[in-house]
Amino acid sequence: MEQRKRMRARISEEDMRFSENMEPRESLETWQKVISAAWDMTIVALAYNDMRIPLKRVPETLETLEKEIMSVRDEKTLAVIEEEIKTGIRHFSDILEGARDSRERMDRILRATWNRKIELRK
Amino acid sequence: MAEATIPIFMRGKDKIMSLSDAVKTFVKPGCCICPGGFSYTKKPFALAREVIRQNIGDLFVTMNGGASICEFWCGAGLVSKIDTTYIGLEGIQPVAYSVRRSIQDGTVDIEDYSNYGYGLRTVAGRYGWPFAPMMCELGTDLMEHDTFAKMGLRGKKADGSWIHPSIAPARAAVIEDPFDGWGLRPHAFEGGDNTSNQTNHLEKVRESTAYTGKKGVKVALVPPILPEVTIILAQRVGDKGTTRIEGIWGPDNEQAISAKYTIAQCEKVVSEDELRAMPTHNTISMQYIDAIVEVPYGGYPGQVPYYYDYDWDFWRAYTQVNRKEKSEVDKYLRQWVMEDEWTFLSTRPGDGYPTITGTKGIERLFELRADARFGYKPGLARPL
Repeated sequence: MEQRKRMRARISEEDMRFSENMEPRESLETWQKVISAAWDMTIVALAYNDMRIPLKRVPETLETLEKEIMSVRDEKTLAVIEEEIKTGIRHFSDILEGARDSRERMDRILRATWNRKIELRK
Repeated sequence: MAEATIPIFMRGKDKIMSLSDAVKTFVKPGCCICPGGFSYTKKPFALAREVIRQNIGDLFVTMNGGASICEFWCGAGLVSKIDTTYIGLEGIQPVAYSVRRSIQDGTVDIEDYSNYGYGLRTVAGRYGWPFAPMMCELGTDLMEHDTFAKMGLRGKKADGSWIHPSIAPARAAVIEDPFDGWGLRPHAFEGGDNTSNQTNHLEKVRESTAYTGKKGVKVALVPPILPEVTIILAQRVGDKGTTRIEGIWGPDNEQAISAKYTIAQCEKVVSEDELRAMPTHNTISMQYIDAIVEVPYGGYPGQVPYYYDYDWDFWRAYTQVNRKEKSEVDKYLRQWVMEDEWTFLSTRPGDGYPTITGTKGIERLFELRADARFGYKPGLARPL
């Protein structure tokens, strides 16, 4: 609440003065690499938004299909189901493979970040 | 075909350029320039800042959807004409002060359309129509005022060429509807018309004798926009120019296609394959893009949906700055933009205005990161 009150107050002339000779604490090259990785993860997160809800629906529809298998009367129908499931396995394996490598790297980067933090504090 | 007549996109020239080269190549003093984006959202601020750095003046600015870029250019004294709809900075300053002051002191001439009327002009520009029909400004005093005509900027010169290539010979024209109101709503379907658009009041319109002196339905015709340069901000652009805009499109697609040249500022240049995997998600084809400029965070202090939110603290402070003397606003903006964009991004965010955390530079930019699930930053303080 205090912070909000402070933010609503008129800004002083001193607050609006630009800093002189401000030296960035981090190199630009590092920042550019951070931004590039952040943007790529954002692009994937955004694409995932589109499949978030249907992805949750798939287990339910698969369960319904699984129960239906015992009611199938024609072998040709089973062949269609088999093909659709094989295609699904290919697509979902691609998704899993694509995500697994990045996810593992994220764990490694997190550990490296913590180690570097400790080094810098020494 | 002679080399000079081949459009840039067909010359095999690399479209990926530095910010300064793109502005130097396409933005000339006196040109008609059309900034994309809407309000604070997806505005190509990096390109706008570069125009200030290169001090390109006498600009004729035409745009729909907010005046944040025009505000900076007016503050820096770079604008002579505006053709637009709304000159506010949204809730924080309903009329952008530098724009207002430039109009009031006579340094800028402004032509005003309704948002919808201007939107139709961009649609006409996109599809190459000679004009677009509309009903929306009929009966308003927008139809009575024509600043550009008073300034002698409309029509042709003695040699038959247009006085200004981006200014139409008339603001609007009114004709009798050749289809006698058949296309208007509510329509005479059997059992009535239950569509949501019931606003044309067709029977009242039929009784009016305005504009032509005769009873009957009238239609206003507005000219297309024909800017020399459009500047837009897209999240991703392919290395040959295929453009994908995510979140609000605003007027960008129409304004980009209407222009002689379009510069696409983007957060990331990616391979064409990445975008063509889902071609229906792309919004502008490569042949309409003449220059590609990659500037991550180049939309600061505005918002780029899914990537980062706007810097409300900056705008709050800026609306105090722009009420100072004109020369002080000019000096402030020229100091603010610094000598190049990376120096700007590494230094200016969070500097010269109070923030809760006090962080500056790129660290401040990361404080504005949006949540990709929503497109904006939940919990961002926006005190008025």
